[in-house]
Amino acid sequence: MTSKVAALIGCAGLSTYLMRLIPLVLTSRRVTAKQTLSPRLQGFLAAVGPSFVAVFVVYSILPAGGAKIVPLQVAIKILALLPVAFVYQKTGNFGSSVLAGLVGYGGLYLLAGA
Amino acid sequence: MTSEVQAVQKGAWSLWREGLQGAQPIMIGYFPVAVMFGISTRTAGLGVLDALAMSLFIFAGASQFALVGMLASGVSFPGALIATVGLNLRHLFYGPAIAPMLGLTSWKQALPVAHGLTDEVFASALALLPRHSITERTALLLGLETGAYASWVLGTLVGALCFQAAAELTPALVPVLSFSLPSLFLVILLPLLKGRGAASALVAAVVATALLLSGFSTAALLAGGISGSVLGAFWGRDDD
Repeated sequence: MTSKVAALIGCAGLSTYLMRLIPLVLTSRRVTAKQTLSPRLQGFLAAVGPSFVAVFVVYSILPAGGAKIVPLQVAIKILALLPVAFVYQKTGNFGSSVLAGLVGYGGLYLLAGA
Repeated sequence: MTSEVQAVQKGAWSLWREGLQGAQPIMIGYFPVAVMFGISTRTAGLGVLDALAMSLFIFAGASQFALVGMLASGVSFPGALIATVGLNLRHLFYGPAIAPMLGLTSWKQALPVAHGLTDEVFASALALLPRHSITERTALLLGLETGAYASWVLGTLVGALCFQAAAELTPALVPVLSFSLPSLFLVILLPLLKGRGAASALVAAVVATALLLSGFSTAALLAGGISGSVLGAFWGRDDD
């Protein structure tokens, strides 16, 4: 490992860690001190989860990084999410829902020769 | 050691194990991607130690791949660092969203929790933590993070050590196994789709899709997440 690579890994690791740690500590302090968060901030924080998870879903379906969109691949992913939703609605179980997605996607992937 | 303390410790271990079990979908999704990361690090001319250090100390998939690409193409130190920080800006929002669920009483408790707060762990925590009392959640989250971290580090090591054999095997496995992550995100999203959550998710998804299709893939993640959250701030206080 060269010193440049080591320094870069150290700085990147530290910056990533601090971006996760500092907001967590600051918000925990406010919560522990029972300082009331404004209704706007409460609404904002309540919406962070659904918003980012929805973006993760989009991100995991559409190709990122300027890659060309292949409609068939996107269609396969969307179709393979249907058994996931179906099994989750029926069972409420994460593991079996994810497994249904893997089986569905694997089957469609093989069928399409994608 | 009193029996009361032992009981508390046993509870924490069993919660940690429960968190670890909850991490299984993440582990299935992470492992092949981490193997690919290990391979890409070696093919970029970096060593096993470089790959391992990145996964141990950074633990952020997208920025690790970007960093390897930048190192391979000779991007300057400040440029690579700024790009990494930019890619990880979204992490600023995870702590504030999750802190009210954890009730951490000191900054020391936040130290181990913060390192494992990746996209997938954050999303899984949103679904897993509310099912437990506030005193149980930190141990659960740590179990979730341990599973994800172990899978990522181990996958990197396998990819970096056996990169020639792994390169032949993983391209066939990556697309199928990595589909566990979209599946996981969907099952986490479904119960959040009520009132404010549904409106925020819809706006976030539309903004992210529009930006992704326009080629702004890095901005898409952050802009989508923020736009949905801002809508949530102005939604009112009725229906959570």
